[in-house]
Amino acid sequence: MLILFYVLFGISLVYMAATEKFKRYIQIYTLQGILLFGMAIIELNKFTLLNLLFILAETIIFKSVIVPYLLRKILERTGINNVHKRSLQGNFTVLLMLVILGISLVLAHILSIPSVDEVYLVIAYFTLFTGLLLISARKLLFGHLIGFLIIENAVFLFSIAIGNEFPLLVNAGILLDIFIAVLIMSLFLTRIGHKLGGFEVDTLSKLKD
Amino acid sequence: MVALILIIITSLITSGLIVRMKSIFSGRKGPGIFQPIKNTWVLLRKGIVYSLTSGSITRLAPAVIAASVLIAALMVPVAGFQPLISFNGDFVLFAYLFALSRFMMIIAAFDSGSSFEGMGASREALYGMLIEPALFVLIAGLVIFTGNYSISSIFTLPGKENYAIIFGLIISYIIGNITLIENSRVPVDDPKTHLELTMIHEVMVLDTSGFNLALIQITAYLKFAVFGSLISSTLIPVFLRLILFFAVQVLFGAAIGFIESFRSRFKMNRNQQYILTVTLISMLLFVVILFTKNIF
Repeated sequence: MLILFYVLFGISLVYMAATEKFKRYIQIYTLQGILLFGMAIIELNKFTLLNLLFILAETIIFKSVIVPYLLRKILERTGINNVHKRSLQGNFTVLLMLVILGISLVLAHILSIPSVDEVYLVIAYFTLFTGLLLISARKLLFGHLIGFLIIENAVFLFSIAIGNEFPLLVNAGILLDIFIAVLIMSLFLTRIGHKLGGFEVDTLSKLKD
Repeated sequence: MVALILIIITSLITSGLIVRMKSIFSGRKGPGIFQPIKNTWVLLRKGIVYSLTSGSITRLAPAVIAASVLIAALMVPVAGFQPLISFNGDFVLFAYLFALSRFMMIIAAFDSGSSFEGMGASREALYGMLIEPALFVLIAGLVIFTGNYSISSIFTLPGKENYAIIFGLIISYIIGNITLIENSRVPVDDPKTHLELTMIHEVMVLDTSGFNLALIQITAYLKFAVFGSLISSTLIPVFLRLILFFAVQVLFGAAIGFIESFRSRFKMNRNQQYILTVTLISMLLFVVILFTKNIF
């Protein structure tokens, strides 16, 4: 069953890199939250009630409900639907994903730890680099936001790979960071974005006191 | 021999089933399941008209195209019955028979001297080049997973190993996408389009008529049957194969009809991205297979 989650998570990343519609990003991100919950439940065989509640909150509630809701609100208010025309074209993004898969495979092999399942590391590196690719390939702030969220998913995957040794507090800290980032960006996009005259990353350089 | 008979029966119904499903979903009465076959039968009895600019390749190509796909069909296991042709490494021949069929189609289009057909041929060559790695990577993964080297064995997944059903589902998804691309169906191409500039496969056979056109259509029917059989081999357990074979074929045809009814075709420049995505998913599956077999 776990292998199905690995592959589905990988496929979701492929489609995330390929799609150019922000609505699809949100749908895929929601699905990833559910997949991560499934992975965590299967993989972590010894967890306390507190752990279970935290995983449930982090995956289903945070990743599949709250963040998608906030992202949808951003899309509704800003009216942006597609990635910027100057963004890297889908063909090249998918080709780069092929390279990323190769790099993830090599990195996971070089940096493998005996107690950690290597396939987890491959998927985690693949997720991390996909997030970085989205941040560097997309011109609109919304794309960057999705990139950060994907990187957070990579951190979550690393935490599952390490298992019960990953401190709960560190995970909670990262989660809080990302949540604040989503809130600040949603505030920026919905309140200040229109005044600034666009939602491109370049416009941030025009910000003054 | 039973495998061949089943392939022929399947090829007779799949195409009609797609048309039937499209009619149902669009609320039309539509033609019957056997209408495409009846149309092909009419074409088989018609004479052939060649354009003045065409040469010997145009005359030769339809027969080579049909023959190559027919030979490929003889290598496919159907409903648990062994194929007529089977040997170690036959998957390479299988892939290259499809490539030969595509190559002949492309050079026949160039041979006709029509610039429209040349345009379609160039698109077909690009898509063929992009989808071939997906098929080869998929087969390489299956060879590693099953430890066999023949198509009749590598596509026999269920019951053999752990993860067989999961891999079977993902492989079916990949083969389904390869079918749409190989047969030039929605979302890559639209067989019903009337605008030459947006055509891929149809524009390549604009100058093909009568018996030759019938051969091209039969090739398309056979391709559906071949890929449908591969999907049923990967999905159904051995003891249920004969019973569920036709059910899978009907579902396969219905799924394509469903996709064609509810999905619009891509813009031409999005097709490469779609095909590369299928290749990437195939690569991903390959990597996971490497790990499950402890090779990496």
